Amino acid sequence: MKKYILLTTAILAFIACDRETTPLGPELNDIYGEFQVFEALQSSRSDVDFASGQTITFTARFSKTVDWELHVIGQTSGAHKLFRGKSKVVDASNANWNGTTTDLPMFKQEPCIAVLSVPDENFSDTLDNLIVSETRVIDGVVIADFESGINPDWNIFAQSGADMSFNIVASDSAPQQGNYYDMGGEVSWDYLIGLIDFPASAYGEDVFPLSDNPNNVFFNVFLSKPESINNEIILFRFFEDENGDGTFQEASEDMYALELQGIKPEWHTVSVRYSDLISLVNGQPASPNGNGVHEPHKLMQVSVLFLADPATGYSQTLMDNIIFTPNDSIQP
Amino acid sequence: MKPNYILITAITLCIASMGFAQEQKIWVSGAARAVMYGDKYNTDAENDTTTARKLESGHAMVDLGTNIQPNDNVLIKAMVRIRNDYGGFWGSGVTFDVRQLYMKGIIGGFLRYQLGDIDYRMTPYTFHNNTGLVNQFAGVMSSVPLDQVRYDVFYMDDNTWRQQGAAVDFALEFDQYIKEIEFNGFATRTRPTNFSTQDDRIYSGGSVILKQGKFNLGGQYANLFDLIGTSDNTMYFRNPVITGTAEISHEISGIDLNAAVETGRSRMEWQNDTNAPTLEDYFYDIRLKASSKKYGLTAEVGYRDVGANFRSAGAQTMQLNYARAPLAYDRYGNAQLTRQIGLMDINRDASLYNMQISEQLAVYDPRYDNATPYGRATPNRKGFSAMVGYENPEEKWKFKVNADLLSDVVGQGTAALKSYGTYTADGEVRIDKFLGWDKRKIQLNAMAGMQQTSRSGQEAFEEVDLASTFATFSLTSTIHKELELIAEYRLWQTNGSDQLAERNTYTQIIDYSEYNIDYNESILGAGIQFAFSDDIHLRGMWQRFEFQDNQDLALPYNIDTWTIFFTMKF
Repeated sequence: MKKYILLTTAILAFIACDRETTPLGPELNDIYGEFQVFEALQSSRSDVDFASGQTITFTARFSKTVDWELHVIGQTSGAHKLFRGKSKVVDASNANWNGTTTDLPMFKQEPCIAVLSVPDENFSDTLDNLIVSETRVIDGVVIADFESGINPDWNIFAQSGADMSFNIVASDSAPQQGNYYDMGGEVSWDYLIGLIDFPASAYGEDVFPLSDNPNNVFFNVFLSKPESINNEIILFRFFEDENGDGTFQEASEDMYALELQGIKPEWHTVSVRYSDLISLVNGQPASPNGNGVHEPHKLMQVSVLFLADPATGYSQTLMDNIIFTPNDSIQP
Repeated sequence: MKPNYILITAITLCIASMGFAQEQKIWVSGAARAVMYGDKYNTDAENDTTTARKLESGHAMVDLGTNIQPNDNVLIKAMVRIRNDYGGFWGSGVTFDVRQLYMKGIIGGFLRYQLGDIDYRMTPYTFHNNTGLVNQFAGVMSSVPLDQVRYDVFYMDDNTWRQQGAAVDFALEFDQYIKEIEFNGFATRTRPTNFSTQDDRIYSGGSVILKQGKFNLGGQYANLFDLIGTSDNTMYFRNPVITGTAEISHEISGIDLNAAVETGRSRMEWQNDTNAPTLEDYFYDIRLKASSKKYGLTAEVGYRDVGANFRSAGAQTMQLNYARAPLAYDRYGNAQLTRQIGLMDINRDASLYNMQISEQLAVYDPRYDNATPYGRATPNRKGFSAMVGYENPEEKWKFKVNADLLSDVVGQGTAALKSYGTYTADGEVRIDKFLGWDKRKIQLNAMAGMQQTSRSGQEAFEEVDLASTFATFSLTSTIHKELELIAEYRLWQTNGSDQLAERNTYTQIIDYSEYNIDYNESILGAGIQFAFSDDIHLRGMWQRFEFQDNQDLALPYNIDTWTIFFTMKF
């Protein structure tokens, strides 16, 4: 009899085991159900000060899981932040805005609208009462954002070619705040159209205040060009004062370079880790003349040279927000 | 190569004939058959002017097995298959394969072993070759090619899977309390390594059965797993299944009562694969059976619950591989569409059948079984089953009625559960025995069944309703002595809709596909068969296979087939 009881007990123990009762697979409602908006688009605040660390959380709730898009658009700058998701709920986990942008320009102090759309359901909802009272502060060492005019300690040289433009331009479409730098012209006798030197001394420093770890230093710049231009060459040069004597010795100290061609017409970010910079001679990789060690904490000058093949005629490139950021590339 | 075949065959036959002279130490066994099909394709479809209207195919084949028994404790069997497809001549169509090879024997008078090819099974939840619903009720004519297919792919009546590996078993007998304890073990390789990304896959396990006469207890274990170190692969598949069985038999007033239960757990995991889930679940299956030999009655009721994540590769591998296309008329119509598998193909196309167990829950065809496509171990099913059977003691007639009333354990994409009802009835009448004929036989067999899948819910999209009905009628009647008339009509039709689960490589449901169908197919045929002996038959048959899609998604057609079928076992 004991064995029967034991057997029955064992069976009942098995039967009594709890199972997960959550339906298997994706919910049918998400595939076949009718789309409804249970909670309309809302924002956690209408006025946001990103500089003080505030964020905006957007919320909405649907009847089924859908592919949704949330576009935040700056009314003055045209800046655009895009959130995408596949869910029933829009909330802090998938739509928390800290002031960054998806496509340049960066947001300014400006009114914004937020548009939530579900393309598959032909649905959209708009919030138009958002105000960016303060833009976010980006941690880094700014070389030039051209918002305060030309620093007299910069060294600017422009050839006397045709249609020359080597100046700051004020525009709502500037990728960062209200100004960018326009480099353009036609120089038929030389590759060089113009250059700007940004010495650390222009900021009251012997060297730029950067980390000594080249892997943690990122060089960033915003660039664009007219769609018709295809001959631009932008050469950034980075001069290290290895011996700390306040001057750069070309024969015995390192100069790294970043040569850019094929710039895209729309404003975009170029970011390079300092340790990935190389030495160039006539555009070709070469051994640096100094110790060959990337030493961002000894960087004494950054220069930008705007070049073009003299046989190719007019060239132009727009530039903004030259900045070193720590640990990661810039999140505009 | 041809001279080698001749040489090997000659040596085999020579050895065999020598064996006959040496007190049966070496003897030959095997089978032979010759088959000729003449297919005539007919269709009323206007957009089918290109499909070949007539096809002939067939083959002659002999399986020549040499049995070598050097002593009472060792037996070696080596079987070669020589097959000549019609159309090849002068040896160009001949294939020569080793069909099976094994050694078996007894060590120390108690330990039995078998090396090489082994046929193995355990319980329906651990290691079991399930015969699908569509093949459970083949008629007298459908069975002729189907039996040959089953022979070709090593499907036995005892539901074993043919594997390559080793098996051992032994038993301990006791004087008191326990009669004996049986120990069984096996290890096979289901997939070889490619030495880079794919490990050897091993299937192994065993059982311990304690027999006490009226009370038996058992423990079973099976595990399909990757053998670490046989390739550079760093992810390892594991599917251990452990079950316990208990069975009690008792007799009351001439009625044999039997209660049996099997319960167990499974685990399926892909070690070191960060994307992979670990699937664990359990099942239990309880059956109560009563039978009376005196009255020929048998009745059985049962209840089972198989968890949604219960995975047992050895028990859930299907016989039919519905992802394959049939060999005959694989493409048809002017658009050269792939022809759907039909009853005709299931009966005679061995290429549609799996010969190796798989860790996947393979795609199944809802027409032929939407309720238990993976056998009794189909995951996510619970419910009752019942059976009543009767066999006339004078063997004049018999019948059996089955009902499976199942439902999902867990909903698929919704809290609403699908219900699955499968009902079958089959019977046999021996008219000759009613008439008192001794030398003539008139046997009628009939079966009919239906399967219903349904789900209702609060939303319209939750509703599914799929129904299959099927029937088989067979006649076997003596014409003269061993010459018999055979005839069969078989029908299968399905209509309705369902949402079929689509699974990823981890066997989890990731999507559903809408399934809508309204079709019917049938086989009508007649023929004659002559029995040279119990193991040697010659049959001439005509059959018409008709396929009709009432939604016009597939072309309607029928195929008239003349068949000459000679089969022999020796």
